[in-house]
Amino acid sequence: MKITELTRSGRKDIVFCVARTADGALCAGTSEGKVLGVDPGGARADAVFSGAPHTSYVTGLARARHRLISGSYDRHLIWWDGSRSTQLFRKPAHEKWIRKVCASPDGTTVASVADDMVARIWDAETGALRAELKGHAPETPHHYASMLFTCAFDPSGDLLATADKVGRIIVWNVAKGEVVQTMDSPGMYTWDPTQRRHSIGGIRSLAFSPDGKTLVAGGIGTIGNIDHLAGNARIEVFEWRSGQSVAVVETGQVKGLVNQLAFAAGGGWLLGAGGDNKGLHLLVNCATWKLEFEETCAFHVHDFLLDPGGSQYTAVGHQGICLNGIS
Amino acid sequence: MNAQFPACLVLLGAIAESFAAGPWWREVDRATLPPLNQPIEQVVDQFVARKLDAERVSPAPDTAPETLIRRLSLDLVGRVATRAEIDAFSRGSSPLELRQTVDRLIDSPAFDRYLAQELNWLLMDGQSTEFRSYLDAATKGRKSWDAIFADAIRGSTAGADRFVGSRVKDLDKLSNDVSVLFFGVNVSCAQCHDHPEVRSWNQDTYYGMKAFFGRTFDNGGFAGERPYGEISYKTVKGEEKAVRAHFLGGAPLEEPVAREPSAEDKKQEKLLLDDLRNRKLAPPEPAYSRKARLIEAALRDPEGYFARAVVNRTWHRLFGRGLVMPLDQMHGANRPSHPELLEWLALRLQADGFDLRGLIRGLVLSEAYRRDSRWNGSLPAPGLFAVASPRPLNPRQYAVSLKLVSLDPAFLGPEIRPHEVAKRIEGIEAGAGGLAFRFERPGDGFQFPVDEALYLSNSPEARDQFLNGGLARHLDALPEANGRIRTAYRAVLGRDADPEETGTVRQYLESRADRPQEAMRQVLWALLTGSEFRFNH
Amino acid sequence: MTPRFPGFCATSAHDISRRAFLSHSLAVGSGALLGTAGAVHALDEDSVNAALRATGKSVILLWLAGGPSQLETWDPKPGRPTGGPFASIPTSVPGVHLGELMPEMARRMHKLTLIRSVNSRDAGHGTAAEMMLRGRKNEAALMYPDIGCLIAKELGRADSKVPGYVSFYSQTEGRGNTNATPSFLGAQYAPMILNDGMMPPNLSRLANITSADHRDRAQLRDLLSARFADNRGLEAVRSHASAYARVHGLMSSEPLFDIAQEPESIRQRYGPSLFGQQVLMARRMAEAGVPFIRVARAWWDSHGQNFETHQEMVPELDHVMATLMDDLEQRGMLESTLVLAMGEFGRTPAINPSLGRDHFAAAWSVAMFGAGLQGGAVFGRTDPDGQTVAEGEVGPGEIFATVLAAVGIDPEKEYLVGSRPVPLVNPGIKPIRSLLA
Repeated sequence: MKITELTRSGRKDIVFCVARTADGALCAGTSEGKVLGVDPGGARADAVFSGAPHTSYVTGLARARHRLISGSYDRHLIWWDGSRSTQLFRKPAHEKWIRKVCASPDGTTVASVADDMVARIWDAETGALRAELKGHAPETPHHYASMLFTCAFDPSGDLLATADKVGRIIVWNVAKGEVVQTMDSPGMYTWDPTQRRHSIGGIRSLAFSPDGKTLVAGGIGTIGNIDHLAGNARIEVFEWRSGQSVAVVETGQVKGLVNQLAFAAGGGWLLGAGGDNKGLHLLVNCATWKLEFEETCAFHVHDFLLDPGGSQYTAVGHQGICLNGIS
Repeated sequence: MNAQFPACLVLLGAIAESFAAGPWWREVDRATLPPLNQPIEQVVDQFVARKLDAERVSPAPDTAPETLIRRLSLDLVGRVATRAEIDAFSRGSSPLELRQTVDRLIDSPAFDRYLAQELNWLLMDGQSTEFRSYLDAATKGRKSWDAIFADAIRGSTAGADRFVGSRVKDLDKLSNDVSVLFFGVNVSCAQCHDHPEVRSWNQDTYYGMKAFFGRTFDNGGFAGERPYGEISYKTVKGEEKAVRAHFLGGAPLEEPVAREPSAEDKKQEKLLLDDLRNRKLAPPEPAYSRKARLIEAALRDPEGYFARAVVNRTWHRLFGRGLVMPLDQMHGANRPSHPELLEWLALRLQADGFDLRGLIRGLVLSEAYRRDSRWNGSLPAPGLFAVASPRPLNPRQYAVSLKLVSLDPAFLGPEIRPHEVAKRIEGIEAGAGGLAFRFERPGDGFQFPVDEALYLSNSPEARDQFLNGGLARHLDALPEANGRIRTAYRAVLGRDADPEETGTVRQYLESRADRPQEAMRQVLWALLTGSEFRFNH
Repeated sequence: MTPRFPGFCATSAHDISRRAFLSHSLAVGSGALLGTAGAVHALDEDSVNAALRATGKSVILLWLAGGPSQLETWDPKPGRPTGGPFASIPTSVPGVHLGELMPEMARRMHKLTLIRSVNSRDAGHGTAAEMMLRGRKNEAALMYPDIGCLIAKELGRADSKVPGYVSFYSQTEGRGNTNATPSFLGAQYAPMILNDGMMPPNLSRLANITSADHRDRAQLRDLLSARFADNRGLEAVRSHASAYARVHGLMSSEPLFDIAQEPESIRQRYGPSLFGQQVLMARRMAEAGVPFIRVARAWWDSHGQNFETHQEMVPELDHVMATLMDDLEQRGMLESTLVLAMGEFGRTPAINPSLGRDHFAAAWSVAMFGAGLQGGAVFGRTDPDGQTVAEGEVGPGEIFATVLAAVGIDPEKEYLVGSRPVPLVNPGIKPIRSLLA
């Protein structure tokens, strides 16, 4: 298997998240606080959604039926009408940076995670807060503030997985607000006690397999010089019911974070992307949990959308959007 | 140098006037100098005495034999004299015996090792083991100073290549270091503006020196040289000016026109250099080496900077002060304390083929070197050399000496054959490196750091080595206090305690009669950390 | 002092004459060519400094090694493409904003002094650190002394019972860039280095000798050495005596290095981090009269994940700095202690693909407080994107001169190195007068 770039357009801003409206239009959240319609081919100009934008980076964007819900480092969630590109309402949602927003497969529920280390569950339609999931430690073992980077619903929508900076993964029963499973992937977190005395890393992406049995977490492996993202891209695979780690996949050539993960519809392979100063993408064979493909790509990828057919994906990231083919 | 800061411009300007007539050395009438075959020590004393007479200062008397042999040992072989050496020397220090003692020290392998170490400090801040290995071989093989200079600049001898190799990334530093270390002049003032004291020195002088290294470059830690390339600089007025290599304001170098390489030549050159770098090899010297021309220019220089600089440094090392101060301001406007003597010594060194050994021998045989370091009343001007100047031991001298005197006196005693003694001392030297690292290298106007005092006061390592060593155990075995005091003084300071000292130490010991052994160890501590032991006086 | 032994009658007299000599001693000037230490000679008499010394001022340098981002701390640019994701927050000084990670310092802005217009022109760690700590670039033939060594010389006392300069640098990255070289000032101004713990080496008395023994043997040593020094006039001989004379004073300062002597409540205020505990030690030392203390906090070099790195490190800096300010004020030490927080440079306005910021020396910020500096003052300004200095450009020299002037040292004072007068700062460099009270 391999990936080839089909089209690409350069930008001045950084695009952190991408989603498709119910009409199939591609939308993105940017470092300028905007949510906007974008064209990876670059033929059409950005179509900025109307209404007051976020005041910081837009780091989460999820579609729930006809709505789009964006989350930002400005601690707010904004509900948008996806088809009219207009703002519906906004809510102060967290006390610290919102890192990710995701929606349940049926589009009724939205989850947001933030550096206040709480996952909040929202009614996708009304914006009502339904639950608060608290269980991630607010501090790292070295007394610094931790970060809750990512979340993902399972295919049933009953469960939510969340993961933080030190590599802790929690699977929650959303309806009951209870912890179902706790797992650790410590290889994702590098604390340098001697040379530089701070940390780097964290789990940046999560995805459940289509059958719901397997949970994969993406991030970066151990880093020698934590000034840079100079570690292997790393994915750890869990049979989450038992809590067993079944495989660790690391790149050999390319370096950087895995910021997003997605399974192919049949569950046969897994796509990951991210990067360091360059971008990276990779493909993993889910039968063997071996890396099938790893390569640098045009820009550091913060998010992507894999088409249902699995033949192409749209990547957004540092000053660029592109469409890639998978063959 | 920071171009926005012409600090040298504010230099004291008064002496600049004196150079209007030309450098001081041109005023020395060579015809009136003593013949070059006269013994060095005689000429030294003749000129030093002449100045003392003129200033009506009577010099200090000769120092005691035990102090002189300590001084000679420290200066020539880098350690205090052993008890046996002191005894032998004190029994009869006639001029003949002095000569024989000096010759014995200078002819010993220990002299070669110590000279190599001192030169490594001078040229490499003591940092390069490769350069040190080169110097060990060079001093052992009696290599002359001009040959060592040539090896260091040329870099074609293993180890010697570190001189340029370690500086090649900064050509300004390289050319300034060469000027300071080998020619006694710091031309860096003239990098940004014309020299304030030496009117004939201008930016051209600086860049003319730098141009000798203008084709030198770094290739993976090795210095290479190209057969082409010119340098230019921006004048104070901001104009770009090309420079030809020339030695300290002398005539520009006549040299073949360098052909600029073609693109293909450059490609080939790069391939070769990459290959050499990968194999960690030095690039070969080009057929025409401008660096090599510096060696010729320095050795043929009619003004004689090269010889004067090393004479002054050697004098400084043995007397604690140069004939010219500071050592890097040996330009024509800075008169030495003894101009004729410096000229004569420089000419003599040249005539002797730059044999440092002979120069050192002559200087330490002089009366001026032998003077006592005590002086009643206010000190005479330092440039008179009327009294010896106490010099802090350098780290190696102090470390080796501390180790040496802390041993059981029998270890190097008269019963041990001289060959075995030399071997044992070499072993002590080899084991003193780590300790030497704890002490600061003294420079002019040295101030002691408190770390040294704390280390020698409180470290268990120092206690175990110096206070619980062979000497301490030897003292324990002695039956009575006066004997212990006498032995401790003789072992550490190489002399007998005077009655007042003996009385003081006895009182100290009596006040601690409950723990006599421990008390004696503290006496030992007081002697080892005392100023008398810490200085070459 | 009553001598313990009759034979020691001379001791106290020697002691007095030695001290008397030290109080107006002048090193003999000549070049610093042969060794690591050379001669320096203040052109103006040391008596000028006596008055200054009496003021008992100290400087605490928080050395933010690796280069923190001015945009995430002292000079936020929220909403600009270069501003990054953090908001800015109002401070106790109307119109002045700080980055949102510094709420504690924001509340104390009226006591803080900011310079937002540093253009230091060197963005390499090694050379920039050397320059920032010396106030200028070295010359090929002249290495300038580290600021701590200089202040130790100017504000310290030769017979002080505490060190003149203590340096903490526990992380290893960048440590080699900051060797605190006294250069021509001489080795006695080198720092006491506490990289691997709080207790300096060789400060504790050996177990097998009593403190009376220790003192007595020192008296014996001094007496024997004084006989040697008689009739041998050399500064180095006197300096040898003064090094040993300091041993007992320094040893008596051993409790100074014992952090357990601070009440638990104070230790908790500084927080659990190593940096916090070391800054508390620095306050202890300033209180005891140590003229210069450097606490290095490495390593800010956030080429990748700049924002996460600053989320981790800035709150620590904010809290520790604020605690130090309060603690100094409560102890009445704020007027006599200058706290300077800076690294070797700042970070690029441009955000790289690793969401990092790279080295940037063209427009960055330095913060300081205490010692009568103008609280709430903000000097200089950068352009809206923080790319260039728009107003009030200063370099390392002006920062150096301002610190010296604030603690009462004339920046135009000169040392004589060899035959060359060397001013404390380069000619033409002035302190920032508007920041000085």
